[in-house]
Amino acid sequence: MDDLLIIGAGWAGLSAAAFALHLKPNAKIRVIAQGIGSLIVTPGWLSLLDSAQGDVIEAARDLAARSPEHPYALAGVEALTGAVHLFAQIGAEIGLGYQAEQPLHNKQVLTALGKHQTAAVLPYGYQGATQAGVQPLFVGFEGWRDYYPALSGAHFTLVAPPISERPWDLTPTDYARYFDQPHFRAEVARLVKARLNGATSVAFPAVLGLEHHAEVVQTLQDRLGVPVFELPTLPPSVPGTRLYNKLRRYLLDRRVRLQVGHPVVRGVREGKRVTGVEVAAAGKPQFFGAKAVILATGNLYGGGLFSDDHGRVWEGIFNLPVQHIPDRQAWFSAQMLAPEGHAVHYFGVRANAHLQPLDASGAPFAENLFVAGHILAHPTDAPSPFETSEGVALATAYRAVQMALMQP
Amino acid sequence: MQAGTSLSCDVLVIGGGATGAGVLFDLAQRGLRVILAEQNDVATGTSGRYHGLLHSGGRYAVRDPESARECIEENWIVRRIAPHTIEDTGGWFVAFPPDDPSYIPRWLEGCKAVGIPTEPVSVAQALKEEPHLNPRAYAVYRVPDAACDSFELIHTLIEAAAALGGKTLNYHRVCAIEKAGGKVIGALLENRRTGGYVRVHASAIVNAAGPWAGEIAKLAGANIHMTHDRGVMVAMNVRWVNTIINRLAPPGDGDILVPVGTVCVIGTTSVVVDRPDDVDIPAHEVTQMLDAGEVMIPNFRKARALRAWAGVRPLYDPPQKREGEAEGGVGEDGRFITRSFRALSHADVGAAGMLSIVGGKLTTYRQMAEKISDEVCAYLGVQAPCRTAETPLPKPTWFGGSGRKLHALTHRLHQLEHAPTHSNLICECEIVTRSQLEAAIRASGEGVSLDDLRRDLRLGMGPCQAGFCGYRAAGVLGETAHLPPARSIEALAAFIEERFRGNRPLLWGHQLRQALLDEMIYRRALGVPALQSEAHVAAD
Repeated sequence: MDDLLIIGAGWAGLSAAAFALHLKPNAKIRVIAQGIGSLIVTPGWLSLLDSAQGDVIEAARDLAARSPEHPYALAGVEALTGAVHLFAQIGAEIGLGYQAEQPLHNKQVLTALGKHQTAAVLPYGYQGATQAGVQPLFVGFEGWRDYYPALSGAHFTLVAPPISERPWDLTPTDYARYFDQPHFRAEVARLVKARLNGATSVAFPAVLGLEHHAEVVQTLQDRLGVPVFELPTLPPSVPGTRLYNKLRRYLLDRRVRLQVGHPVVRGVREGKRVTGVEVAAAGKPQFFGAKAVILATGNLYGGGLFSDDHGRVWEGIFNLPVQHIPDRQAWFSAQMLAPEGHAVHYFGVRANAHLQPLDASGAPFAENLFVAGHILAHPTDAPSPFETSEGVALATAYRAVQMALMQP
Repeated sequence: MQAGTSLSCDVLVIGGGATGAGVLFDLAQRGLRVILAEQNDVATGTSGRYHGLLHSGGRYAVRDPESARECIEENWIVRRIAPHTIEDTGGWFVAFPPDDPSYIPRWLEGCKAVGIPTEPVSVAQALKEEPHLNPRAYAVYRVPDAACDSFELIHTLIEAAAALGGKTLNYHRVCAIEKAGGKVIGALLENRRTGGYVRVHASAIVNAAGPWAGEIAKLAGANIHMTHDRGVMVAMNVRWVNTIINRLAPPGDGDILVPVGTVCVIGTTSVVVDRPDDVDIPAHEVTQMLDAGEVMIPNFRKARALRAWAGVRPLYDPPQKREGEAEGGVGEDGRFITRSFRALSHADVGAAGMLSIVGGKLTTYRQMAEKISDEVCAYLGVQAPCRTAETPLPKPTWFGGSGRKLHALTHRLHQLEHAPTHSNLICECEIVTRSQLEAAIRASGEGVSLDDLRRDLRLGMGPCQAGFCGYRAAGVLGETAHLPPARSIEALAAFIEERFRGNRPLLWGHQLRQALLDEMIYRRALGVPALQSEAHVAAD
């Protein structure tokens, strides 16, 4: 039997496992997941409250006070602070950056369309964007379908990738692996240097290394003599894949059991306690017992929630009730990019301040079951869940781990 | 409004659907100088928004024998003159519980009366041929239905007419019909891409604007009583059947299932709407289609619904006819109005030489074109007979004279496998390469939208609905057409919204998950700005 079983290996699930190691170093921890959730599409930075002006934590505190059902209010702002600083510590250990200064302020980063996005904590690749200056040079690769620097800004260039294979149909991950090779990044630096032409910084698509990210960014900056930064790409997201790979190694090295690709088919509850879960396996489902379970399977996108054409929405493992609108017509706004977002973003499981999910009567579903991440419902008057995306995942993971590790 | 250019012709045809294209070809073949004006791209109105069925007429055999007869006559002709637009799937009429068995003899009698051949098929044989069919089916009859690609058909007609001098102006909206001395003398067109005006001098005008026929007639001072009847169709990502399945029951919602390429299309509903461009899709109508699909194919809704669209049937509904209506009446449901067609003259309002063709089906486009062309020729005193029923249509040439069929996924796969391309796959779902996209952009000229390219190439029509290829296509468009970044980004936003419009009614299960993935790409990773003007979306 494990002390803690975490279902899900996205932002919330992996962070929960890492936090649990720090909060109780000898605990037996297991992560079981079907896939890696939204890490495959995440830009990789931490959005805590994108609209916050000034101190982000103080703004989150105001939000929690205004909106007592918000995940920040349930988890508590202390959980957010604790989570962000612990994540920054781990981020430095695994070589990806994510420094969180105090007080914490939002920063502007750039996208492949030359648009500004906001985030509070950045991995190495995006840090240079804050010093982009007046004339960033956008660099793409000739013949590559996944990045078009002409859409990013006025100063752009296409370089021929110094590779022997045909360049078409390469994925962002393929390019990231090339950047891990010292001669490739040296050659790219040489090609770009010849075209700098007074550029104040240089932007690449977010493919600057998979295993040796910090080194790649450092080499390019040293050779080019100006800040270098990344622009998020089409999936698969290299910053997300880096984070997954590095956290996976980090957890495995510390004896966390990590099973990805194994869908949990059913949760088992006896009386007021969850005893474990059944996992799909050859022959018949296999049972894993645990003293406490954290459900971090994600929202309708992440794979924790399901929906059908009759307007039903359900949770797939414990069949928890999901807060949603039964009229399917109201799920989405008229336009995909409507500034107000879509009602579906707010659907999710309701929980109390211990992050225990609630059953239909409003009572905790079980004493030792906790929820973390985007499976949680957001109150409809809350800012877009995109604005608090990683903040909610980390804060609720932190709080859920605190509660779960108190289980007898 | 100053006309920048002026053109002259014998006949101006308004409307680039199957009927308008049919009239363009028919009159060009009779030796007249013809211009066709279409407000959007060709085949974007009702003709492009149908389920892909070349009717045998069986659907109308009981209630609407006139239309049924026209369908079967034309069915044989279209198979002969445009076989490349047709997949001869054959069709069945199938009775399932709770369909009323007493309808069967009435239906057989109706088919016989108008000459639709029917052949009984044993249920055991039917299940052998179509194993997904609901085994509770209790009666099956074979009829000569077929799947027909309307885009292919219309492009074929337009190319065939062009070879005879017939000219097509797409993105040209008629803003005025000009009259003098009791007859029409021409029209003023607005080029919607450049904003310029074109004056067309014409001796006669054919109004083949489908659901917009009432608006066009109004420009000439005439009043046509049209009923706009909206039907919803849903494409599923599984080709459940190889044969067209019709419910052997009085016409109802979701009673036709058509295999089209790799998918199948279920249709349709019938709801009277106010506007010719009301193509909204209420969620409950989609659920209604899936429920209807389950009756014919158990587990129908387990396939993924890829795309929903609505077309507005331009039904002609003369007020005097309403008195003697036998069954029901025209209310919410337009099913009681005939699917047959009428040719109307507007000489009574001082617009002699302007003729409107209203009602009808895609299947009967040629007969409609023949009838209105006869009247135009009579008015102009031209003696040439109609020869469209005997003239095989040439296969269109498309880009670079390749002669390949548009939209054929298997064909593209074959090409790629046999000659590995030196080019990127931009749209992975529909196998669109960068070189195909570049060729289409160059062939289309200035102001081409990503949605125009979609119709040429099927770009963005697969399961991801442009989630990945939208950005790539905008990048290629920007590089190929040398657009400033803001224009490419606006083209991307417009394309995203256009795709979302047909996808939104289908967002549950996997497709909902896909939409959320697309949204994260657009909104978070790329930061695509929301479209500034909603008018732009509506216009596309």
